[in-house]
Amino acid sequence: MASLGIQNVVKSYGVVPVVRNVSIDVADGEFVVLVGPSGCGKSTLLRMIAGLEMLNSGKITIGSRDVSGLPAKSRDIAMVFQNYALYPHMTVAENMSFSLRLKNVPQEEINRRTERASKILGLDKLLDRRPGQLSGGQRQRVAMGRAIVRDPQVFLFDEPLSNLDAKLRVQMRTEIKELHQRLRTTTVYVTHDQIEAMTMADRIVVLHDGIVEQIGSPLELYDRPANQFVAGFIGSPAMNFIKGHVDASGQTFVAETGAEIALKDTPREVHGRTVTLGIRPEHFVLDAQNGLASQVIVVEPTGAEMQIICQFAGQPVTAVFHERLNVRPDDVIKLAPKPEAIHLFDAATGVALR
Amino acid sequence: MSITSLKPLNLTFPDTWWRRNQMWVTPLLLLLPAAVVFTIFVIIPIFQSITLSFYDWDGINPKKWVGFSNYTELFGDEVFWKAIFNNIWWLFAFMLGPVFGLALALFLNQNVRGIRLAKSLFFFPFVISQVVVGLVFGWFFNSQFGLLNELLSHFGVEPLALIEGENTATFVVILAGLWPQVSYCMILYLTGLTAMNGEVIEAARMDGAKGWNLLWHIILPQLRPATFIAVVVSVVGALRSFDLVSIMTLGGPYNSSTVLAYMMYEQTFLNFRYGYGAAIATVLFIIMDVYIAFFLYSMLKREAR
Amino acid sequence: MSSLTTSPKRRSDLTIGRIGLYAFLISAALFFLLPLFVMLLTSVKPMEEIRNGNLLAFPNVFTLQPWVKAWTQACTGLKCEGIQVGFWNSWFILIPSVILSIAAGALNGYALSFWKIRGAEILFAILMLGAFVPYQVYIFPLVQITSKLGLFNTLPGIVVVHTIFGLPVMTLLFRNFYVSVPRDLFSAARVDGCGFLRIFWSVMLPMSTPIIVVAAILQTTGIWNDFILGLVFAGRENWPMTVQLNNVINSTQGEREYNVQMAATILTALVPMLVYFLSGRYFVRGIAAGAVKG
Repeated sequence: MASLGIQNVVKSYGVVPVVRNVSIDVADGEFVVLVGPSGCGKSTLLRMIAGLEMLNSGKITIGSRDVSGLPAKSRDIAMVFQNYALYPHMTVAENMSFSLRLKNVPQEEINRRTERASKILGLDKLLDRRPGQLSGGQRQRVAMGRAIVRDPQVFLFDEPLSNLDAKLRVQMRTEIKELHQRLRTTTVYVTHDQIEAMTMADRIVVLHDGIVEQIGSPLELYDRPANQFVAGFIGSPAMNFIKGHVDASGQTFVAETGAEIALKDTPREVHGRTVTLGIRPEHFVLDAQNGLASQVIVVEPTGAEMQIICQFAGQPVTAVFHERLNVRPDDVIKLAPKPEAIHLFDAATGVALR
Repeated sequence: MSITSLKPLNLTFPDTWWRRNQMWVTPLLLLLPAAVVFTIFVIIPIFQSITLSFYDWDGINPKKWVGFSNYTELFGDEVFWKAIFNNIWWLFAFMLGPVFGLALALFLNQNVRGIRLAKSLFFFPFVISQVVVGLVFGWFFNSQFGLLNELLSHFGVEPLALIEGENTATFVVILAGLWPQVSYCMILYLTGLTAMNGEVIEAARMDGAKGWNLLWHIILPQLRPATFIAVVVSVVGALRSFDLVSIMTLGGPYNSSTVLAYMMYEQTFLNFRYGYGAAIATVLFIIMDVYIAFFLYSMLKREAR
Repeated sequence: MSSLTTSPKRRSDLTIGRIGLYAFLISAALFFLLPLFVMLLTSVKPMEEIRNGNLLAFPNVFTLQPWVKAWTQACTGLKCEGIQVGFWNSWFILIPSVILSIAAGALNGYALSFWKIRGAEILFAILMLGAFVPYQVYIFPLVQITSKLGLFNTLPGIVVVHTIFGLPVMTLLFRNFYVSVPRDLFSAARVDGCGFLRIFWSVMLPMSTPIIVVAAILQTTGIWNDFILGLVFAGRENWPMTVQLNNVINSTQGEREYNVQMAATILTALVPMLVYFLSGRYFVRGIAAGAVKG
């Protein structure tokens, strides 16, 4: 096990830049999730860590050694792929032990490690099966087993759960997390699913267009997004954005429609400025006195909560309530954001203002 | 927790050019021998053929540069024109391959008892050698001993000498060639039909498409890749026709059933007129080039999509 | 596979359409079987019966003598050692040619499938050229080159020629197969510690059984059925069965022995037919996959 350093890494395919100057430090034993929309460069970055793609410039270190120029096989990493990438002609045991056999590890050692990994993952009874005879979840476990037997310095996961059905995904999420808590191997995990990122990560790296938007713990990202992109990407349903400006006193946000929203503790620099206001769906309250009259468009009860999409300050927003409300489409409700939960972003750059 | 009996990895890897580039250099090195051999045995000979067509050579006396005189002789040669025309007949007739192949494939693509046996029967001509096909057809049409005349005699028809006839020989050979070609196209279409998206057909049925409409507007467009390949292999087959001519008629009678490929063989290996044979080969090559250019164009266009 | 052109099954067991279909199938089958049937009949009749009799009549005297004669005594030109000489020659040509061309095709197809740089298309075009150009275009210079290398009229010579001529189609076949293998499998093997050749040997090749079977079928039938290459390059001593068969038919000394000729013909067709019946669905796949061969 070792720390992982990514310093000023740049990668482009021809003239198309994919990763532009990314630096991330992953501590020994840390679980870091790279998250971002498709095409943000997260998979390319992971493949560069793995040694499957070469860097244009920059440096990747594992522990104290610079691995930038090394081929995948010499980096002492293990990787779990989106489509599992199991060798179809090998049994589960052979799949898991392939890398060890390539290194001419003695047979008893191979057996010991395979046994250990298959016990951890509950694969003991499937060792003689071939991948074709396994379910999706079992294949996923074999792919993880293949990584575990290596006892590598770094685990890499490339969207490993995206081919599983919703229920299994939640289950495997927990299993991977447990596994990490047990083995404490430095892990880099790529996903486009922010819920996966939030639930699994020690730290999240949000990538967008090949650059790092923000690095931080899940709650940090949720509570204090660095910019409008991160704010919109983290959290589900997504944050609502309303364009407008802050009045000179800093007490009120005035939307483009003229609707007013009360603010609290605004920094001096935003007074009188054109901004985008961000408010998470779960931070709305019903306020008969100060709320803005909002016409309900759609009501989506999920059982645990209610999502209400309504016309608020001239645009549709989503609000989530944990109590059951008796509202129907076309009803008018009085909606107000909690002032302490309001985010403000620069209208031009999207940078958070706080 | 971690098991340490595994020897620690050698951590000092030199960052060499080879390490960085082996993943694309190795395939290049792998391809090299094949590329060299292919160049020596195929590419260079094609150009040698073209060069040789400007010489007069019998293999014994020294080569003599004659410029275009092989070609002027060729264009004045009745046999050459006969061969060209026969090749064109082959081409036309072989275009029936995809048509009949499609018809057969549609017929055979059914769920009825015994269809597998029927399918294997129809594949059969494609499986056997052209030599065998040629002999079977030769016997069938043979004027003294042929099955055809035997059958006709039951209806009181006088024996026909089709394969021995100057005007009919080439068509008998073409018929023999068409036999396996129809099988071939049928197999291609059957594969295409099997791979076809059944939901589209069902959707079309719900929209009220039936019979010809269904075939023309729904099934045929989906079979386009199969049609493309079927036409390609039919054209290539028609231009390559050699075995059957050689086995059934030897180009005769009086060169009436010769084709370019056979004429080239005859001039080179039987008459030892190497330069003249090379000129015929070059003409064949040029015809083929036009066709390959078209094929590559459409194939690369499709891959680019 | 559901039927595409007939009405759904529930509607009928015996409609006019279905009867028509069967009528068509049966007559078509007859058309295909009749020549074969006549050949088989003729091959077990003595010559007198053939001379006087009806082609379609069953033999009065059943004899296997023509088959024995075809196998051991039929004249191929000057020698009269039967078609068996050609039969064995064909095997000697077939086995090394099939193995070599598949090995070369697999390796090159693998290399090509992972080679994603400019120029790959040109290489592709050249391969297609090799697959399409009629042999006659370059067969004579090839004769000169092989004789310079001492390969002309030798067994290794014809093997080399078959291997090279099989190369484009084999390469394409394997390339298309390897391109369809998920790229992640290749990546996983790299992470597991394989180099380029190791991936081929330990991961790709063991996965390739279906395509190897297809390739073997394609090459076996193709090489067995070849006529012109064997005729030109193998040399008199190594002439394959197809060439020998043609010689048997064309050696016109005395009376034409149709029964012997038919027996020899059936014998020659036997190997590809066996391959065909044993390989089942692979055969169809092979033909579709190797269609560019023409």
